[in-house]
Amino acid sequence: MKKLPKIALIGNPNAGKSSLFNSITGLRQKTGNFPGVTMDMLIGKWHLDNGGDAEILDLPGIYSIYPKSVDEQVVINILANPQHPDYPDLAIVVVDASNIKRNLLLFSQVRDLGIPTVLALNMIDVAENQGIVINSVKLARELNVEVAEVNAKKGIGLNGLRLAVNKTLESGYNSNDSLPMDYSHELVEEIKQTYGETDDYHALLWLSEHDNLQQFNTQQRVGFDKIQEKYGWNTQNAQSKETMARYAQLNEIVDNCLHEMPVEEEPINSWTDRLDKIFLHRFWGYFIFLGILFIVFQGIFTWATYPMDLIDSGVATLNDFLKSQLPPTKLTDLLTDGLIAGIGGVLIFIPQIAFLFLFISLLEETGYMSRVMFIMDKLMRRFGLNGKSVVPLISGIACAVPAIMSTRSITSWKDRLITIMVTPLMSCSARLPIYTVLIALVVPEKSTLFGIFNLQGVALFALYLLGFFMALFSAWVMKIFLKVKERSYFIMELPSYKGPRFSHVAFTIWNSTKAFVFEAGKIIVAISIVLWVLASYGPGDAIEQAEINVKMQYPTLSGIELQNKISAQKLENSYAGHFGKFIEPAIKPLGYDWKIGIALITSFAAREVFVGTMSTIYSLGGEVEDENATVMNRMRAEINPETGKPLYDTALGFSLLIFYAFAMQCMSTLATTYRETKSWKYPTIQFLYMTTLAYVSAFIVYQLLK
Amino acid sequence: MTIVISGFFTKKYAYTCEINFRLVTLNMKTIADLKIGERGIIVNFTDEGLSLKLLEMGCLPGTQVTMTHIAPFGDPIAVKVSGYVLSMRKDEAATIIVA
Ligand SMILES: Nc1nc2c(ncn2[C@@H]2O[C@H](COP(=O)(O)OP(=O)(O)OP(=O)(O)O)[C@@H](O)[C@H]2O)c(=O)[nH]1
Ligand SMILES: [Mg+2]
Repeated sequence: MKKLPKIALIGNPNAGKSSLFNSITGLRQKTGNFPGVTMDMLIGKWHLDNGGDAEILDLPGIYSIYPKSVDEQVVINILANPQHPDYPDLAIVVVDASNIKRNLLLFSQVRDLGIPTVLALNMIDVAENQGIVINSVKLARELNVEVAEVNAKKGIGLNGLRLAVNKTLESGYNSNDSLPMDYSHELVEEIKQTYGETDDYHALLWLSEHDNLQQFNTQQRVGFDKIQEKYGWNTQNAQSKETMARYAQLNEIVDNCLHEMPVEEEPINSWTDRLDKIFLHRFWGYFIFLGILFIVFQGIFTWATYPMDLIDSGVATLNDFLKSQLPPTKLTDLLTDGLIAGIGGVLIFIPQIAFLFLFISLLEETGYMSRVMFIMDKLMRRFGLNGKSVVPLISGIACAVPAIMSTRSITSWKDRLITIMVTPLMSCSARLPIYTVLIALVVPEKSTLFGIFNLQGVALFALYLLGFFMALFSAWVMKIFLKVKERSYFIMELPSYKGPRFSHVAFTIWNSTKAFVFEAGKIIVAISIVLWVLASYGPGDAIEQAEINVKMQYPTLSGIELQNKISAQKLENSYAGHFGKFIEPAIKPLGYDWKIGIALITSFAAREVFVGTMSTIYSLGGEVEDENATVMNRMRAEINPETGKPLYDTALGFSLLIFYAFAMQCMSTLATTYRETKSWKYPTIQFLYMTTLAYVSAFIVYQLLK
Repeated sequence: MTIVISGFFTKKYAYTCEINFRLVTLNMKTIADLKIGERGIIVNFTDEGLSLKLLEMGCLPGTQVTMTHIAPFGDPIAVKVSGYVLSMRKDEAATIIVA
């Protein structure tokens, strides 16, 4: 079989590479209106008319082939190494027409690497709004390259692009002739002799970036250092000179191809200017940001309750129906008490999760995210973080795994490491169900703050803020320990505001919610079944003994009350009961009993399972034969055997809330931290510090409120 | 009096460089000194390590910059340069000399 040609999408951050990738492949790579959305490579397929298929690669954005951050490094590792399995046969350089000169700098570098190149001129609509018209025919002639005008967002111009790609693939043509800057040919020859035949530009790229390139081993790197010394090579200086030389060439070309029409008064996208006057305001900027967050959490608690109630009663009805229809066997119990109770625990939270993702995707789509980075930078720096840490922290509200990956655009290793370490303290969507259930138990539903704000909504908002401030505080502590003198910088593009694409937002919500339900669902189903088995069987004949024991102890009881006592005894004597009892002494100071202990243990795989575990445990152990046998009602009915009062009082409720807010209970997050830091040290520290923090804080809260 | 302010970027770049940067007097105006709405033309950079990044972002000597936003607490700032808005910290802005 013939190897498919590889086509790489290369371009500045936010130029529209992922949008183009989506239009071409029909896939749904994540896009968003701020620099640094794509963090890793994604491969798709493209049908070229006569040439058959091609593999197409979406890559993180870069400003030049000299990388400044980890996400950029991914691209350079490929481009610098012609032997790399992903080295492209052709590069489509996606160029933002509204900022053409800066974008062409990268184009000229990629072309000089000798890769056959096609230029995709994108964002023409944006440029036209700013009064910029580009003569693409002339541009193609001046640059001596195929140019295709596209609208990546709407998928316009793909045929033209395909034609250009076909033509260039066939001819394998690359228009580079000589490099624009001066360099020593002797030097280049020496590199070629030592490291293998290549073109001059690759040789120079190796020389200046060898320390960061994967393809070279230590010995080879030392060799490069020696050559640098011998020729008095100064990387910094050479790269600056090259950049200037390229711009000098491009200036002329751009002047010939670009017509600037005078637009009335304000020179640039006046909408963006006007909105920025508000969003970046010294005082109102923060106020608006907090206000937006506050509305979101109010919304999660008030608007989402209607569909939630529907799902809740739906699941309860289904369960009752099945119980009445199916024969009362162990299998039926497994289905109803184990599976459906567990899954119902997840389904009910779909409306809230969807709402959360709506908010995050609007933030990302409109361009507001960069503004938040801008107004938060100074504040974050005090805590050892960086304005760019805002993206991981905010996406951490959805899930810590992609959030930790998005730290790759942070240029300073120290800032990045601290951000990775504290991001899981942000309350992720898996905590939302736990918060919801527990808040409903301890905060009165009908009460309001100042008569307008639902107090439960306020409590939820407070929990998210608590997670955020704890992240800041932990970052500040780590900053003291990590004494690295490294300069970070914050030179960043603020993209113009763009209207959200509703189809895109809808898809994001759909996809994320689906992922939540299925990912969480899988774990929950598995754990529910295991748990059901562990809770239904016990060592020896303790379970069978339970029934006899209870009947002997309470000879006067009958009916439901007797059944309740029996099931409670059975649960206590089951394997799960034994586990719970085993750790009970450790969690007693936090106010938890052995049943909560079981939920805590299962939560260490993934905290999503808390609510499911609770439903399974409470539907197995003791039964209030009630129409509304939901988790919440069951938990509310739980009595503390020592005091005779409801178990879930304020002290226990808040203690549990705090524990779940801070504890590191997610294997995927630890795995991601390992992958991003390439060391077991950091996930271990992360696990230990967060869990200690959770234990100590929950202890304090319980002892204070008790 | 002429003083060179340079090379606090990373060890890799610091001090080793042959300084071809024109010597800079301390009382030169930089982007950090611009008021909102004020314009300037980039003349030179004082930090070689940063200058490459700035060049790549389109801040070339001879280009016009306009100060557009100053964040709460006075840092970072945002300028309009070659047709788009670029944000940077105040100490970064202070390495770009304008006239
Ligand atoms: N108006 C307009 N907007 C576009 C066009 N193409 C893309 N966009 C928008 O530009 C933004 C950036 O698009 P992405 O595809 O995420 O950009 P990217 O190059 O993949 O960015 P990174 O992954 O951060 O490097 C999104 O909000 C798109 O909707 C276009 O032709 N016109
Ligand atoms: Mg992308």
